[in-house]
Amino acid sequence: MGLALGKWLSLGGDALIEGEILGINMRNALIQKYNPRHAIERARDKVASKVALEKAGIACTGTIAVIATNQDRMGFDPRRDLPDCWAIKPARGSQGNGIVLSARREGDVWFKHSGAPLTADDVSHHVSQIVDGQFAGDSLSEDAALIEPLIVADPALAGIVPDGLPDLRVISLFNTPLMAMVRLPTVESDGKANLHQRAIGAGIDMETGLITRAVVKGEVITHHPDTGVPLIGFEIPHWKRVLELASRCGPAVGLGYCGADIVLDVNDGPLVIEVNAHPGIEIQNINQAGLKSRIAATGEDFR
Amino acid sequence: MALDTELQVDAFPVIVCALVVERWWKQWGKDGAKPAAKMAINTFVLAVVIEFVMVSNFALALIEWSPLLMPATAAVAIALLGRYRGLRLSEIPRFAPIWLERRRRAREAKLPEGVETERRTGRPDTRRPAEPVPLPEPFPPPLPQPARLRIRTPYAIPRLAHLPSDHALVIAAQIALPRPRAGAWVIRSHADLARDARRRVPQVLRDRETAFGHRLPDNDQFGDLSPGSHWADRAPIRNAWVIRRVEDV
Repeated sequence: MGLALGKWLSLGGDALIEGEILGINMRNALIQKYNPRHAIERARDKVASKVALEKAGIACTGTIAVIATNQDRMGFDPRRDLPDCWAIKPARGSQGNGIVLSARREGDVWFKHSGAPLTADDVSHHVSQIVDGQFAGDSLSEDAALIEPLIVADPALAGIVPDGLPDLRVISLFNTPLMAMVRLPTVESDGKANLHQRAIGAGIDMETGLITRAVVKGEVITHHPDTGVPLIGFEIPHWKRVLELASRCGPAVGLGYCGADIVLDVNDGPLVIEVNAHPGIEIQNINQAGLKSRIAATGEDFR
Repeated sequence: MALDTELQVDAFPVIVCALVVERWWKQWGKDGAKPAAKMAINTFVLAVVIEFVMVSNFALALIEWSPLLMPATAAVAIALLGRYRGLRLSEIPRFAPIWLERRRRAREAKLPEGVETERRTGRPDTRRPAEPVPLPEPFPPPLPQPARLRIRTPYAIPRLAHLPSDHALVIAAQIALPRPRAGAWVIRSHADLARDARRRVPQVLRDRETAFGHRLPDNDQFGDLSPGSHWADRAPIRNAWVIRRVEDV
């Protein structure tokens, strides 16, 4: 049926089944084949995956505190424990929900990037919300709040975005990085590097680390719409190091097919922030290249 | 007509409806009204399609034949359709730009340089068949061979040579060897390692006085460990009982 449909759409015979594009069915089959259940659980929990990554000697973002229980929460005093700039994240959150960033501190009041103040009570309240599992997806289970120092983007990358932290997504199969993109926040995306919120997705050439193509919501662009900086041909700094990190973090967490989220810190260079066990396939549209052909090039037989 | 009669027979299952409503309410609270409405519409369209499948003549005939045939058919359908690993229907428009871009590039690539438009469409193809492209050179090119090749002797596993005991090498080796210890096998030649060989066990013969004298040496005797002395061959017995009085026995 797929064959006939492919011919009818004049996509060339077996483009739907044997073609170079990785569909969601094939991706799920790959995940079922290579990603064991316990590794997926570990990747879903930011704290657990961070422990695994640190154990493998992979450069991760730093940690100020992990508040996993109510007892921890009682012993947590923001005035004493928090520095000037930090990020509080729920360990099992998704799509950036529940993340609060502080950019500066004046006395006992912190300020977000937008300038909104955060008192110590606000911070404590947010932490207790996270620990109660308000951001832990569907399951109303317990969660942990992960407090990290704020990451300041590499100046080369920070120069092309108006605000927010660009991050790199590298999809890899075991030790082989397959495809990469960088997600650049825009004014419209409110500083968030989320493609659904109209951030820019830019495809990266795997060998040279140059941006080859940039897309906002299916629309091809050549310059950043807010800053006007040309994107095509921009070289990602520390590209070799990014590839090295991406190739090591899948096996470190126990995943075969994974997507690594990497940020470029101004001081520490590339740092892994998260490993994703179910990386999306939109990256193919952004790079305008098929993941399946690249996976096949590593010797995968798709059975 | 199906809408009048058969659809009214089986009402929408109440429990499923309750679950849908509960789930919808959760989604509304989490994501807002718009995604919740979209999900609800999807669910109802799917439910209506399934309703029509369930009242189709095929399904009714299956149930009439035997109620177990329905799950069996579903299992066969899942085994056949569930193994489909290709693209979904919804993914064809999603990834269509990639194919379209490929096709556009392929068309551009076919035109020779300097030609703007394709004017041959609809005419017979009069192009010459492409000349056979020579096979690419192997890369990297083979290294130039050196003029003189040094021929190495093939590796052979070293063998133990069997030498007679009066061979000069054996005698020279025996001079360097230490004196045999009492009670030890002496392996001097290849033949001593054979399975049923008679091996020489050197016996150190002591004179009567040392054999029946006291076993613990005096201090000055104990210090004499030079090769050839009695105590060099025989280690002193360290864990002997020392009996000094009658009570010790």
